[in-house]
Amino acid sequence: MDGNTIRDRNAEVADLEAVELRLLAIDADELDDAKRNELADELHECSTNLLRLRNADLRNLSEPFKGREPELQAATSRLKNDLQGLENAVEVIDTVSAAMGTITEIVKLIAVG
Amino acid sequence: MIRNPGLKQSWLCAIGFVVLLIGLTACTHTVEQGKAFSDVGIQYADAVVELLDVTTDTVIEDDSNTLLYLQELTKLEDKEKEREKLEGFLKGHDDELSALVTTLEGFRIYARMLKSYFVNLQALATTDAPQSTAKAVAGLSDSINVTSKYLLKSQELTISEAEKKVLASLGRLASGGFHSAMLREALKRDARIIGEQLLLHEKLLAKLSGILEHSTKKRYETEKKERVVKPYKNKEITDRGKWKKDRARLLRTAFFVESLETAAKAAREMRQAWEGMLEGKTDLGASRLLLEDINEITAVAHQLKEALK
Repeated sequence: MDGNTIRDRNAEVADLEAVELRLLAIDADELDDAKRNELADELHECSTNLLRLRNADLRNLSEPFKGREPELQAATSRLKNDLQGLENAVEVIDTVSAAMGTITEIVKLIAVG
Repeated sequence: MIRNPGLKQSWLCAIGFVVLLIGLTACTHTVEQGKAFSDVGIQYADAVVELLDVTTDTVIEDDSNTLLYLQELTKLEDKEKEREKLEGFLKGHDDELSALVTTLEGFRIYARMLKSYFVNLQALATTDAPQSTAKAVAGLSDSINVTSKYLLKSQELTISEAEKKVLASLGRLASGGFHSAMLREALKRDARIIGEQLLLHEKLLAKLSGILEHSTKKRYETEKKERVVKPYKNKEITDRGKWKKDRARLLRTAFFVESLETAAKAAREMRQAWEGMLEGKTDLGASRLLLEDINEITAVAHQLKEALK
Protein backbone atom coordinates (compact mmCIF):
# COMPACT_ATOMS: atom_id res chain seq x y z
CA MET A 1 0.00 0.00 0.00
CA ASP A 2 1.52 3.35 -1.02
CA GLY A 3 1.79 6.49 1.09
CA ASN A 4 -1.10 8.22 -0.71
CA THR A 5 -3.50 5.35 0.01
CA ILE A 6 -2.54 5.41 3.70
CA ARG A 7 -3.02 9.18 3.82
CA ASP A 8 -6.40 8.80 2.06
CA ARG A 9 -7.52 6.17 4.56
CA ASN A 10 -6.37 8.24 7.52
CA ALA A 11 -8.19 11.26 6.10
CA GLU A 12 -11.30 9.17 5.52
CA VAL A 13 -11.20 7.92 9.14
CA ALA A 14 -10.74 11.49 10.40
CA ASP A 15 -13.67 12.71 8.25
CA LEU A 16 -16.00 9.99 9.51
CA GLU A 17 -14.96 10.63 13.11
CA ALA A 18 -15.75 14.31 12.70
CA VAL A 19 -19.15 13.52 11.16
CA GLU A 20 -19.97 11.08 13.98
CA LEU A 21 -19.11 13.69 16.62
CA ARG A 22 -21.30 16.28 14.85
CA LEU A 23 -24.22 13.83 14.69
CA LEU A 24 -23.85 12.96 18.39
CA ALA A 25 -23.81 16.62 19.34
CA ILE A 26 -27.27 17.20 17.79
CA ASP A 27 -30.00 17.64 20.39
CA ALA A 28 -32.56 15.02 19.31
CA ASP A 29 -35.18 16.53 21.63
CA GLU A 30 -35.49 19.40 19.18
CA LEU A 31 -36.23 17.12 16.21
CA ASP A 32 -39.54 15.70 15.01
CA ASP A 33 -39.90 11.93 14.51
CA ALA A 34 -38.97 12.02 10.81
CA LYS A 35 -35.77 13.95 11.53
CA ARG A 36 -34.94 11.65 14.45
CA ASN A 37 -35.27 8.61 12.15
CA GLU A 38 -33.10 10.37 9.60
CA LEU A 39 -30.50 11.08 12.29
CA ALA A 40 -30.58 7.39 13.34
CA ASP A 41 -29.98 6.29 9.73
CA GLU A 42 -27.09 8.69 9.28
CA LEU A 43 -25.51 7.72 12.60
CA HIS A 44 -25.86 4.01 11.82
CA GLU A 45 -24.32 4.51 8.36
CA CYS A 46 -21.47 6.60 9.73
CA SER A 47 -20.61 4.38 12.71
CA THR A 48 -20.67 1.10 10.74
CA ASN A 49 -18.53 2.67 8.00
CA LEU A 50 -16.09 3.79 10.64
CA LEU A 51 -15.89 0.26 12.11
CA ARG A 52 -15.32 -1.18 8.61
CA LEU A 53 -12.64 1.36 7.74
CA ARG A 54 -10.81 0.88 11.06
CA ASN A 55 -10.84 -2.87 10.56
CA ALA A 56 -9.42 -2.53 7.04
CA ASP A 57 -6.75 -0.18 8.37
CA LEU A 58 -5.73 -2.57 11.18
CA ARG A 59 -5.82 -5.60 8.90
CA ASN A 60 -3.47 -3.79 6.60
CA LEU A 61 -1.09 -3.26 9.53
CA SER A 62 -1.35 -6.91 10.62
CA GLU A 63 0.13 -8.05 7.26
CA PRO A 64 3.73 -6.98 8.01
CA PHE A 65 3.36 -8.41 11.54
CA LYS A 66 2.39 -11.73 10.01
CA GLY A 67 5.21 -11.56 7.46
CA ARG A 68 7.85 -11.00 10.16
CA GLU A 69 6.48 -13.64 12.56
CA PRO A 70 8.88 -16.45 11.42
CA GLU A 71 12.03 -14.35 11.83
CA LEU A 72 10.95 -13.19 15.30
CA GLN A 73 10.34 -16.80 16.33
CA ALA A 74 13.70 -17.80 14.88
CA ALA A 75 15.43 -14.99 16.82
CA THR A 76 13.76 -16.20 20.04
CA SER A 77 14.88 -19.79 19.35
CA ARG A 78 18.47 -18.60 18.77
CA LEU A 79 18.46 -16.89 22.17
CA LYS A 80 17.27 -20.14 23.77
CA ASN A 81 20.09 -22.01 22.03
CA ASP A 82 22.66 -19.42 23.18
CA LEU A 83 21.57 -19.90 26.78
CA GLN A 84 21.62 -23.66 26.39
CA GLY A 85 25.18 -23.42 25.02
CA LEU A 86 26.34 -21.50 28.09
CA GLU A 87 24.70 -23.97 30.46
CA ASN A 88 26.16 -26.90 28.54
CA ALA A 89 29.69 -25.52 29.09
CA VAL A 90 29.14 -25.71 32.85
CA GLU A 91 27.78 -29.24 32.48
CA VAL A 92 30.87 -30.31 30.50
CA ILE A 93 33.21 -29.09 33.30
CA ASP A 94 31.06 -30.80 35.93
CA THR A 95 31.07 -34.02 33.90
CA VAL A 96 34.87 -33.97 33.51
CA SER A 97 35.19 -33.35 37.24
CA ALA A 98 32.85 -36.23 38.06
CA ALA A 99 34.65 -38.52 35.61
CA MET A 100 37.99 -37.77 37.27
CA GLY A 101 36.45 -38.59 40.64
CA THR A 102 35.22 -41.92 39.31
CA ILE A 103 38.62 -42.79 37.86
CA THR A 104 40.23 -41.96 41.22
CA GLU A 105 37.78 -44.23 43.04
CA ILE A 106 38.56 -47.08 40.64
CA VAL A 107 42.32 -46.55 41.14
CA LYS A 108 41.80 -46.58 44.93
CA LEU A 109 39.91 -49.88 44.68
CA ILE A 110 42.62 -51.44 42.49
CA ALA A 111 45.32 -50.22 44.91
CA VAL A 112 43.49 -51.78 47.88
CA GLY A 113 42.98 -54.99 45.91
CA MET B 1 54.43 -28.14 33.71
CA ILE B 2 55.68 -25.41 36.04
CA ARG B 3 58.12 -26.90 38.54
CA ASN B 4 58.45 -23.96 40.92
CA PRO B 5 55.19 -23.80 42.94
CA GLY B 6 55.80 -20.19 44.03
CA LEU B 7 56.38 -19.07 40.45
CA LYS B 8 53.27 -20.94 39.31
CA GLN B 9 51.13 -19.19 41.94
CA SER B 10 52.38 -15.67 41.14
CA TRP B 11 52.00 -16.36 37.41
CA LEU B 12 48.41 -17.42 37.92
CA CYS B 13 47.67 -14.43 40.17
CA ALA B 14 49.14 -11.99 37.63
CA ILE B 15 47.04 -13.40 34.80
CA GLY B 16 44.02 -13.45 37.09
CA PHE B 17 44.47 -9.79 37.94
CA VAL B 18 44.83 -8.66 34.29
CA VAL B 19 41.86 -10.73 33.13
CA LEU B 20 39.86 -9.44 36.09
CA LEU B 21 40.49 -5.81 35.08
CA ILE B 22 39.72 -6.33 31.40
CA GLY B 23 36.82 -8.66 32.09
CA LEU B 24 35.06 -6.46 34.61
CA THR B 25 35.01 -3.40 32.35
CA ALA B 26 34.07 -5.22 29.14
CA CYS B 27 31.43 -7.64 30.48
CA THR B 28 29.42 -5.51 32.86
CA HIS B 29 28.26 -2.87 30.36
CA THR B 30 26.71 -5.21 27.78
CA VAL B 31 25.19 -7.51 30.40
CA GLU B 32 23.68 -4.61 32.37
CA GLN B 33 22.30 -3.07 29.17
CA GLY B 34 20.88 -6.43 28.10
CA LYS B 35 19.22 -6.85 31.51
CA ALA B 36 17.82 -3.30 31.55
CA PHE B 37 16.50 -3.44 28.01
CA SER B 38 14.93 -6.88 28.40
CA ASP B 39 13.13 -5.63 31.55
CA VAL B 40 11.84 -2.63 29.59
CA GLY B 41 10.88 -4.83 26.63
CA ILE B 42 8.83 -7.22 28.78
CA GLN B 43 6.92 -4.35 30.39
CA TYR B 44 6.42 -2.74 26.98
CA ALA B 45 4.91 -5.93 25.49
CA ASP B 46 2.66 -6.29 28.55
CA ALA B 47 1.53 -2.67 28.18
CA VAL B 48 0.68 -3.27 24.49
CA VAL B 49 -1.45 -6.31 25.42
CA GLU B 50 -3.17 -4.30 28.14
CA LEU B 51 -3.92 -1.43 25.76
CA LEU B 52 -5.25 -3.90 23.18
CA ASP B 53 -7.60 -5.35 25.81
CA VAL B 54 -8.85 -1.92 26.80
CA THR B 55 -9.30 -0.88 23.17
CA THR B 56 -11.35 -4.01 22.46
CA ASP B 57 -13.55 -3.40 25.53
CA THR B 58 -13.92 0.27 24.57
CA VAL B 59 -15.01 -0.33 20.97
CA ILE B 60 -17.59 -2.89 22.15
CA GLU B 61 -18.91 -0.55 24.86
CA ASP B 62 -19.05 2.40 22.44
CA ASP B 63 -20.86 0.39 19.81
CA SER B 64 -23.43 -0.79 22.35
CA ASN B 65 -23.97 2.81 23.43
CA THR B 66 -24.49 3.82 19.79
CA LEU B 67 -26.99 0.99 19.28
CA LEU B 68 -28.96 2.03 22.36
CA TYR B 69 -29.00 5.62 21.12
CA LEU B 70 -30.19 4.44 17.67
CA GLN B 71 -33.01 2.55 19.39
CA GLU B 72 -33.93 5.69 21.33
CA LEU B 73 -34.02 7.79 18.14
CA THR B 74 -35.98 5.32 16.02
CA LYS B 75 -39.74 5.82 16.07
CA LEU B 76 -41.97 4.49 13.26
CA GLU B 77 -45.77 4.32 13.10
CA ASP B 78 -45.57 0.77 11.72
CA LYS B 79 -44.16 -1.26 14.64
CA GLU B 80 -43.29 -4.21 12.40
CA LYS B 81 -41.13 -1.90 10.24
CA GLU B 82 -39.61 -0.40 13.37
CA ARG B 83 -38.60 -3.88 14.61
CA GLU B 84 -37.12 -4.71 11.19
CA LYS B 85 -35.16 -1.49 11.15
CA LEU B 86 -33.76 -2.01 14.64
CA GLU B 87 -32.88 -5.59 13.80
CA GLY B 88 -31.04 -4.28 10.73
CA PHE B 89 -29.09 -1.81 12.89
CA LEU B 90 -28.09 -4.58 15.30
CA LYS B 91 -27.01 -6.97 12.55
CA GLY B 92 -25.03 -4.30 10.69
CA HIS B 93 -23.17 -3.33 13.85
CA ASP B 94 -22.60 -6.95 14.93
CA ASP B 95 -21.03 -7.85 11.57
CA GLU B 96 -18.62 -4.91 11.49
CA LEU B 97 -17.79 -5.03 15.18
CA SER B 98 -17.02 -8.75 15.34
CA ALA B 99 -14.64 -8.38 12.37
CA LEU B 100 -12.85 -5.50 14.12
CA VAL B 101 -12.64 -7.39 17.43
CA THR B 102 -11.15 -10.43 15.65
CA THR B 103 -8.48 -8.22 14.07
CA LEU B 104 -7.65 -6.58 17.41
CA GLU B 105 -7.39 -9.99 19.11
CA GLY B 106 -4.88 -11.07 16.44
CA PHE B 107 -2.42 -8.38 17.53
CA ARG B 108 -2.23 -9.90 21.02
CA ILE B 109 -0.39 -12.88 19.50
CA TYR B 110 2.27 -10.61 18.00
CA ALA B 111 2.71 -8.66 21.25
CA ARG B 112 3.11 -11.95 23.14
CA MET B 113 5.73 -13.11 20.63
CA LEU B 114 7.68 -9.91 21.22
CA LYS B 115 7.42 -10.53 24.97
CA SER B 116 8.71 -14.07 24.48
CA TYR B 117 11.79 -12.64 22.72
CA PHE B 118 12.49 -10.25 25.61
CA VAL B 119 11.88 -12.99 28.22
CA ASN B 120 14.54 -15.12 26.50
CA LEU B 121 16.87 -12.12 26.20
CA GLN B 122 16.40 -11.56 29.94
CA ALA B 123 17.15 -15.24 30.64
CA LEU B 124 20.36 -14.95 28.63
CA ALA B 125 21.34 -11.67 30.30
CA THR B 126 20.65 -12.87 33.84
CA THR B 127 21.96 -16.43 33.56
CA ASP B 128 24.17 -17.54 36.44
CA ALA B 129 26.35 -19.58 34.07
CA PRO B 130 29.50 -17.50 34.85
CA GLN B 131 29.04 -18.16 38.59
CA SER B 132 28.26 -21.83 37.93
CA THR B 133 31.41 -22.06 35.83
CA ALA B 134 33.44 -20.72 38.77
CA LYS B 135 31.97 -23.41 41.03
CA ALA B 136 32.53 -26.08 38.38
CA VAL B 137 36.17 -24.99 37.94
CA ALA B 138 36.69 -25.09 41.72
CA GLY B 139 35.21 -28.60 41.72
CA LEU B 140 37.49 -29.55 38.85
CA SER B 141 40.53 -28.25 40.82
CA ASP B 142 39.58 -30.52 43.73
CA SER B 143 39.23 -33.47 41.37
CA ILE B 144 42.66 -32.75 39.85
CA ASN B 145 44.19 -32.73 43.34
CA VAL B 146 42.59 -36.03 44.35
CA THR B 147 43.35 -37.66 41.01
CA SER B 148 46.98 -36.54 40.97
CA LYS B 149 47.41 -37.83 44.53
CA TYR B 150 46.11 -41.33 43.79
CA LEU B 151 46.68 -41.75 40.10
CA LEU B 152 49.98 -39.97 39.50
CA LYS B 153 51.32 -40.00 43.07
CA SER B 154 52.68 -36.54 42.29
CA GLN B 155 52.60 -33.46 44.49
CA GLU B 156 53.63 -31.16 41.61
CA LEU B 157 50.14 -31.06 40.21
CA THR B 158 48.60 -30.20 43.55
CA ILE B 159 46.64 -26.92 43.39
CA SER B 160 46.76 -24.78 46.53
CA GLU B 161 43.69 -23.08 48.05
CA ALA B 162 44.90 -19.67 46.78
CA GLU B 163 45.41 -21.05 43.27
CA LYS B 164 42.00 -22.68 43.38
CA LYS B 165 40.40 -19.31 44.11
CA VAL B 166 42.29 -17.65 41.24
CA LEU B 167 41.32 -20.45 38.87
CA ALA B 168 37.68 -20.16 39.91
CA SER B 169 37.60 -16.41 39.31
CA LEU B 170 39.40 -16.89 35.99
CA GLY B 171 36.74 -19.45 35.07
CA ARG B 172 34.02 -17.03 36.03
CA LEU B 173 35.59 -14.22 34.03
CA ALA B 174 36.27 -16.38 31.01
CA SER B 175 32.68 -17.54 31.09
CA GLY B 176 31.50 -13.99 31.84
CA GLY B 177 33.46 -12.64 28.86
CA PHE B 178 32.00 -15.35 26.68
CA HIS B 179 28.54 -14.60 28.10
CA SER B 180 28.95 -10.88 27.42
CA ALA B 181 30.22 -11.51 23.87
CA MET B 182 27.33 -13.89 23.24
CA LEU B 183 24.81 -11.30 24.43
CA ARG B 184 26.45 -8.57 22.36
CA GLU B 185 26.37 -10.84 19.31
CA ALA B 186 22.67 -11.66 19.94
CA LEU B 187 21.76 -7.97 20.20
CA LYS B 188 23.68 -7.19 17.02
CA ARG B 189 22.20 -10.20 15.20
CA ASP B 190 18.59 -9.32 16.16
CA ALA B 191 18.95 -5.53 15.80
CA ARG B 192 16.98 -5.26 12.56
CA ILE B 193 14.31 -7.79 13.53
CA ILE B 194 13.52 -6.14 16.87
CA GLY B 195 13.83 -2.65 15.40
CA GLU B 196 11.17 -3.53 12.81
CA GLN B 197 8.95 -5.15 15.45
CA LEU B 198 9.15 -2.01 17.59
CA LEU B 199 8.31 0.14 14.58
CA LEU B 200 5.23 -2.00 13.85
CA HIS B 201 4.15 -1.88 17.50
CA GLU B 202 4.65 1.88 17.44
CA LYS B 203 2.26 2.12 14.47
CA LEU B 204 -0.21 -0.18 16.23
CA LEU B 205 -0.14 1.92 19.41
CA ALA B 206 -0.69 5.09 17.36
CA LYS B 207 -3.80 3.49 15.83
CA LEU B 208 -5.07 2.24 19.21
CA SER B 209 -4.51 5.71 20.67
CA GLY B 210 -6.50 7.14 17.75
CA ILE B 211 -9.43 4.78 18.44
CA LEU B 212 -9.36 5.53 22.17
CA GLU B 213 -9.06 9.26 21.57
CA HIS B 214 -12.13 9.26 19.36
CA SER B 215 -14.00 7.18 21.93
CA THR B 216 -13.12 9.72 24.62
CA LYS B 217 -14.33 12.55 22.39
CA LYS B 218 -17.61 10.72 21.69
CA ARG B 219 -18.29 10.24 25.38
CA TYR B 220 -17.34 13.82 25.98
CA GLU B 221 -19.78 15.09 23.30
CA THR B 222 -22.63 12.89 24.53
CA GLU B 223 -22.15 13.70 28.20
CA LYS B 224 -21.62 17.39 27.53
CA LYS B 225 -24.87 17.49 25.55
CA GLU B 226 -26.89 15.55 28.16
CA ARG B 227 -25.41 16.78 31.44
CA VAL B 228 -24.26 20.30 30.68
CA VAL B 229 -25.69 21.87 27.50
CA LYS B 230 -29.29 20.59 27.61
CA PRO B 231 -29.99 21.35 31.30
CA TYR B 232 -28.33 24.75 30.91
CA LYS B 233 -30.07 25.96 27.74
CA ASN B 234 -33.47 24.55 28.86
CA LYS B 235 -33.06 26.03 32.36
CA GLU B 236 -33.55 22.54 33.81
CA ILE B 237 -30.69 22.39 36.32
CA THR B 238 -32.15 20.77 39.44
CA ASP B 239 -28.88 20.28 41.34
CA ARG B 240 -26.49 23.18 40.71
CA GLY B 241 -23.62 21.49 42.61
CA LYS B 242 -23.90 18.34 40.49
CA TRP B 243 -24.06 20.39 37.27
CA LYS B 244 -20.85 22.19 38.24
CA LYS B 245 -19.13 18.89 39.13
CA ASP B 246 -20.19 17.32 35.80
CA ARG B 247 -18.91 20.33 33.89
CA ALA B 248 -15.56 20.26 35.75
CA ARG B 249 -15.17 16.50 35.17
CA LEU B 250 -15.85 16.88 31.46
CA LEU B 251 -13.36 19.69 31.16
CA ARG B 252 -10.75 17.43 32.75
CA THR B 253 -11.51 14.73 30.16
CA ALA B 254 -9.72 16.93 27.62
CA PHE B 255 -6.48 16.35 29.57
CA PHE B 256 -6.99 12.63 29.28
CA VAL B 257 -6.58 12.91 25.50
CA GLU B 258 -3.15 14.39 26.18
CA SER B 259 -2.29 11.29 28.27
CA LEU B 260 -3.10 9.15 25.25
CA GLU B 261 -0.70 11.19 23.16
CA THR B 262 1.99 10.62 25.80
CA ALA B 263 1.36 6.87 25.59
CA ALA B 264 1.82 6.92 21.82
CA LYS B 265 5.02 8.93 22.31
CA ALA B 266 6.35 6.25 24.68
CA ALA B 267 6.16 3.73 21.84
CA ARG B 268 8.25 5.97 19.59
CA GLU B 269 10.80 6.46 22.35
CA MET B 270 11.00 2.70 22.87
CA ARG B 271 12.16 2.21 19.29
CA GLN B 272 14.60 5.13 19.53
CA ALA B 273 16.01 3.70 22.77
CA TRP B 274 16.59 0.35 21.06
CA GLU B 275 18.51 2.05 18.26
CA GLY B 276 20.40 4.13 20.84
CA MET B 277 21.33 1.06 22.86
CA LEU B 278 22.73 -0.69 19.80
CA GLU B 279 24.81 2.39 19.03
CA GLY B 280 25.88 2.55 22.68
CA LYS B 281 24.07 5.86 23.20
CA THR B 282 21.31 4.73 25.57
CA ASP B 283 22.52 4.49 29.15
CA LEU B 284 20.78 2.79 32.07
CA GLY B 285 19.32 6.11 33.26
CA ALA B 286 17.55 6.45 29.91
CA SER B 287 16.16 2.92 30.31
CA ARG B 288 14.63 3.93 33.64
CA LEU B 289 13.06 7.04 32.07
CA LEU B 290 11.71 4.88 29.28
CA LEU B 291 10.17 2.57 31.86
CA GLU B 292 8.30 5.57 33.30
CA ASP B 293 6.92 6.38 29.83
CA ILE B 294 5.83 2.77 29.36
CA ASN B 295 4.14 2.88 32.75
CA GLU B 296 2.18 5.81 31.32
CA ILE B 297 0.66 3.43 28.73
CA THR B 298 -0.38 1.06 31.53
CA ALA B 299 -1.75 3.97 33.58
CA VAL B 300 -3.85 5.13 30.62
CA ALA B 301 -5.14 1.57 30.16
CA HIS B 302 -6.12 1.39 33.84
CA GLN B 303 -7.85 4.79 33.70
CA LEU B 304 -9.84 3.62 30.70
CA LYS B 305 -10.76 0.36 32.44
CA GLU B 306 -12.08 2.39 35.37
CA ALA B 307 -14.02 4.64 33.01
CA LEU B 308 -15.66 1.59 31.43
CA LYS B 309 -16.90 0.26 34.79
